[in-house]
Amino acid sequence: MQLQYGQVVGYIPDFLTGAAIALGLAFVAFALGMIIGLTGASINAYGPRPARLVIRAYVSFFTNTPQLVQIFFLFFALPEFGILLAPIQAVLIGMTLNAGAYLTEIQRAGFQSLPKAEIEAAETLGFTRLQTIRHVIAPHIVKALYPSLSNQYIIMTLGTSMAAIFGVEELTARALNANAISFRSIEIFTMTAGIYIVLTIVASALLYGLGRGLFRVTARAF
Amino acid sequence: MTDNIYQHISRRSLVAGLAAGAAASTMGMDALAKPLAEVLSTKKLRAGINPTLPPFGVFNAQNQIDGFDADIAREIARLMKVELEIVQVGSPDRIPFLQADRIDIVLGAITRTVERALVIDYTVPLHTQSVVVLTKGSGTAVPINKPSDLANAQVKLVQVRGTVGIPWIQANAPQAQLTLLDNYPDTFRALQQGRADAMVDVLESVVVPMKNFPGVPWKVLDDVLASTWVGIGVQKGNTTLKDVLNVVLFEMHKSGFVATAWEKWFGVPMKTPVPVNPMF
Repeated sequence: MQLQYGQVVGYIPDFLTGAAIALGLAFVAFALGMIIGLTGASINAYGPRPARLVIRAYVSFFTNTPQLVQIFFLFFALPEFGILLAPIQAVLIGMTLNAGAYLTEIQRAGFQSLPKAEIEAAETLGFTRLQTIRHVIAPHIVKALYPSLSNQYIIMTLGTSMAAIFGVEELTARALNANAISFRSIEIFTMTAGIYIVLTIVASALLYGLGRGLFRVTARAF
Repeated sequence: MTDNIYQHISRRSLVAGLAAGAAASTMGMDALAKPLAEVLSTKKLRAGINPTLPPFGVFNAQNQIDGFDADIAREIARLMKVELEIVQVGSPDRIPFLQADRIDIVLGAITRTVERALVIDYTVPLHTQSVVVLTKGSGTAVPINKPSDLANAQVKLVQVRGTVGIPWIQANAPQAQLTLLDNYPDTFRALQQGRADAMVDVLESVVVPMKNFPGVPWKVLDDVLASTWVGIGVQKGNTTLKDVLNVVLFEMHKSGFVATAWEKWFGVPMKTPVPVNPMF
């Protein structure tokens, strides 16, 4: 077998554009998913019972079906009801809802691990509910959950590859296009894998720095 | 020996999810061509047919492989006075099957390209494929009546990744919005649901999927944007078998067998006819 990397290096700029789209997709979906997750976990901890049941149904639906199937539904089933989402919209909404479910679960564990004594201390000191969340609960959760959250972020970065199926021209889609033109499959996909590795290493390093700087988390990055 | 080579290929194909040409290009030198003498002494011709490309290959009610290519292979075997063995192949592995000497000939609309000609040998053309515009009679962003209507920023096109229409669009309708999907069912659903106004592909790949969406006002423009030529593939260097097949195909074109089988399976005459040419 003869590998001809010389014939595929020309695709690198195109692939890097795709990598930027992948990073952007993962970042936006994770940020929005965090908002859903924090809301969901707060309702789980403090909300009334009907709201808790709704959150539980949402989480178990999205964590027990494949993400691909969820996006497939958004992309191909909603048009039957007159809602036509563009490829990037369907992928972003799907990834966000899916991430929201997992992040609700992750943050629920954070709420549960809160020492009661700290909250009681906050109440004794006259903190309002918001102040308690801001100064006591949030720092605690971020520190306790930091490794799980950054794992989720990495998983989502790699998971963007399935956007290719729905016509979003991210890194994997561009690799598939280049493969169809050049027939240099092994060269193209090893190069693509290499770019994904760089993406996740960079993301891990950034998350590590962020965790250390902002929250004094001492977890290992790799 | 043959088995080992084949396992080697299929493992490699799995790992990289290879396209046919790529798998084959790494294997050119390994397997030995089964010469014509062996086909004649065993009285058996093994033909690879791809049932994922209807109506070139289809499964019939008895779950056996049938279709245009099966009719052609049967007629070749009859003219050569040998027995036919039909072997099921798929798009990614059809050329590796030939390389590994699992089959003697391969059918399945393998368009003649320079890349593939470096890896396998082709007979004279068996049939053509015609690149056309598939659109809808109503419900499109702008009326599409000729290929140049596609060169418009309002037009949405959808294509299967890696198909022949994409380079044509890039050259002739770069203004149009282009979405690439993974397979024909998704692409046709996207057209049906109004995600796109048209697609550019070979007519022969779209006639059967079109029938699966009967409610859509399908319209195929008359213009042929390009024709591709399809021969039968044999192992690189197997000229003894290829020379016989060229004569057999000439006879089958001359007798009208090819045209009749085409109309039987496609319901329309071949859009770009193959000229009967005694010189090859």
